[in-house]
Amino acid sequence: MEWWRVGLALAIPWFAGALWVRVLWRDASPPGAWPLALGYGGLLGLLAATLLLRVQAALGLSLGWVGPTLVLALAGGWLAWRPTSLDFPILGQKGKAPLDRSLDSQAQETAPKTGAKWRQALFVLLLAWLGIRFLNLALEVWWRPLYPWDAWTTWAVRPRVWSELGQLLPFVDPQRWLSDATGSVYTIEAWTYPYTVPLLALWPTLAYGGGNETAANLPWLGCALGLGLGFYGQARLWGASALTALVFTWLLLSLPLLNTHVALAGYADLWLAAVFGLAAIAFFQWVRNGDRRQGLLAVLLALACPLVKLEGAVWLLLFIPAWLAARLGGWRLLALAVAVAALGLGWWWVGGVAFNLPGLGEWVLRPDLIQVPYLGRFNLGYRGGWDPVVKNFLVLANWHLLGYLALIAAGMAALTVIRGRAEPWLRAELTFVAASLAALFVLFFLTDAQRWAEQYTSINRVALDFVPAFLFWILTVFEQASRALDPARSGEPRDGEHPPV
Amino acid sequence: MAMTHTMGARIFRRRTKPFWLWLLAVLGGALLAVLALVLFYLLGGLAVVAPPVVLPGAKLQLVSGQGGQTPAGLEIHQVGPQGWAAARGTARMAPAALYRQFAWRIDGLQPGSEIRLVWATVADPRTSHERVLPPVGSDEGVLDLGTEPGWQGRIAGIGLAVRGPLSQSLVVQRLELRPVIPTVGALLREMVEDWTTFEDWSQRSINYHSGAPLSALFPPVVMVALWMGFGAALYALFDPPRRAPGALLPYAALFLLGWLALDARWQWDLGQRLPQTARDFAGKSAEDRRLAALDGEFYRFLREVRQRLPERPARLLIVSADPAGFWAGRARYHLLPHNGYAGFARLPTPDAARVGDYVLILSPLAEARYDPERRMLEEGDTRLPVEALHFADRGALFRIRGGT
Repeated sequence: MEWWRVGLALAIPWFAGALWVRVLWRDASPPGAWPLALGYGGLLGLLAATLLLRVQAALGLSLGWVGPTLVLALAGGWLAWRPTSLDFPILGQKGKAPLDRSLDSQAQETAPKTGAKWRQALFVLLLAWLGIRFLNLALEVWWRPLYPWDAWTTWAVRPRVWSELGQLLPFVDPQRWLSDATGSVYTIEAWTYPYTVPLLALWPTLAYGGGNETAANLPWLGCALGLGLGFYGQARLWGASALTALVFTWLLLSLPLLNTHVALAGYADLWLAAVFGLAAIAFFQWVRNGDRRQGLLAVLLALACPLVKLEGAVWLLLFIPAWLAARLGGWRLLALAVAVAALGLGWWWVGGVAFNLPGLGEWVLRPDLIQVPYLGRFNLGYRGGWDPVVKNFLVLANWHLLGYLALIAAGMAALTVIRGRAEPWLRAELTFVAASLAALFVLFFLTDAQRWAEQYTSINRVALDFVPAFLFWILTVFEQASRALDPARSGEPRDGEHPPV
Repeated sequence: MAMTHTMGARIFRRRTKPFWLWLLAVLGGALLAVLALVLFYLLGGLAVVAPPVVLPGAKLQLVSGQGGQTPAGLEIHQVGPQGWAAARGTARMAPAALYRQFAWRIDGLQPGSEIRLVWATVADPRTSHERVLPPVGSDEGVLDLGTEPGWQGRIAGIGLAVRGPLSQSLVVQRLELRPVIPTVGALLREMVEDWTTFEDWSQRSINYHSGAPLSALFPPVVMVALWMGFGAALYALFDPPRRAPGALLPYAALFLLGWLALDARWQWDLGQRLPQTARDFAGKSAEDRRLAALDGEFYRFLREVRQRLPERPARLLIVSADPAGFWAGRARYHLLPHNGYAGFARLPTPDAARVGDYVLILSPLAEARYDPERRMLEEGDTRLPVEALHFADRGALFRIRGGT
């Protein structure tokens, strides 16, 4: 009986979220709309469940899954049974961006047909292969007790306590814990880490009726499934054929490191990869055709990033240059780049800045030291070492051939830029990729985190955050190249035909 | 009818020709990839990929006998109770077929001293193999282990055993495993081994997946990348690229074939891991699964500890030699929801510990001791009045009482 409750606790937020996302595309049914709704909606539904748990705790109620599930079920059910469509004023008339109203039908009409038998056969085989992989990972999750290090030192500690005691007791730093006389606070070394992932692990255990590692780990399987569905749906909406979209989804879901984070559930990296990756992909879509529904999905998921992991707050900044690159073309973009470079030079020349923000604390931004409240203090200085990068991305089996594929895609994209054919979306994607790589460079070459790269402890886990977005970028580069070579696909929406953001 | 047949045949030929060319490129690419790597190693590339495994004295651990580290190396003064002194170090999973030469340098050896090389393989780490080393005095000794029957697979660790008594101290300066350029046959066997090595789940799995031993000469990802590169070049030679629909398809298919090869290997790996997981945990209750986990015996001890703790969550101070280590962390996790903190490498001072708190000491903790007469835990200047609740090999549980 308890497993039925767990099933309901996971399924209801999932389907409620899916309905909410699906309603955004209610007037038309472009290819990929359902997978997209199930993927994005599933993750958003689970995130909504964690928010409802916070509300429950803030209202002083004891933790439970029934109330939030009922709220989500009613929200989803109301949507399903409501005969008339909803209006979302912010998204334009009838919840839709006026600019792209024709795109859904256009995409439907012009999407490549997958009639060929061999395509269908390949599609089925690939789906079966992915099914076997998921079954394998699911059985690992089902049988194996909590395994990886940071799970039992950090991420799983809070949900276990909350689940057993029925309330969201606070976790404080060890010094405060030692001086606490009440006994009502707990401690972990990483006490500043956000609550969302522990709440995601807590959610099914509330339905189970007590601490259970298998129940706590099940959402990780759902996270991978949501990521895959969302990725596939977005690939279809971009205009990729069903087979191409599934091939790229397979590339994503076959990555050994990603699989490991499902099988050995308990770390937060998979969640950030899914939330941040799907936010970035929706952002690329929005930049490409101004679809405000995609903009909404991007904003919702991007806002969730800092709630998943602390670095999620930094990754949010990567959207800014990408957005500017899409908005500003030609000399204006160049002027901005020069201005930013000059500002950086000036900052370096004066030795940086330090200031206090009331309520937040002291910020130090110096060439030798970065200190950001809640994020940490990082001594800067070049600590070179390309060996871990080469080893982990081009030699070891973490990412299959993704490193090589990214190099090929980068070459193709660079050629497009050199030829002056870069559309705003490609500029945005390239800027996003370059800014992400720059962020990783700063982290692993200029800060003490270089030690984690040398020891291989976090270089791959941090990179995992970016992999879904990078793979989608690779998909779009190859789609563009393929369209350029194929006059039969000239009927599809050309990049230049999409209205700018 | 004949005309239709001829046209059909032409179309078939047109369609099948690129496929056969593609297949030829696939096979040729594979052959060239293997050839390129074998030639690379035969022509001197081995020194780049497989440098000597050097174990300086500072990296050796004395496991029997008395001695310590000196600037010159590991000094051994005296043998252990069994009449032997022994020191060991890690061999970084060096492939035995490649690292066939063992070199050592020891100062202070007397004529007639018996010294043995001891090693264990990754496949059977519990069995130690031995080989008496020839006498060389203070000079460097070198021994070829190519014909040694136990020198096989991957070497997990090597060490030295010295028979006593010692008339003077020995200083082990360094041990070294040197690669020897192998034959083509040995290289090919190495390649097969790199591709078929099974890697089980470990605590490092969450951080990286090597796919082959870290020192592999033929890492599958590099091999497949070379295969794809050579295959694409061959196909471009056979059928020069032109701007036409589907021109990218053969290259995409080639790339996806390579990806599939790696993914099939990963699935094989996962398929090997799953039965082990099933054997250990399937069909068991949560409690039994914990007992079957890698720290099952430790969990059994913690279960006894839990029985001495109150029903309501208690404040628990966990003291261990390695507060950030595995056992301290597992103790804290297994005893949840008791309110534990594992950050103590020494006994907590009286201002950190309060009456009614519980103290769990994990063995071995060299300095702390319990005085049963005074009912005190002592370590240096720190004294805690306690009530002893449980003693076991793994550790002991106390409750802090009032008074002194």
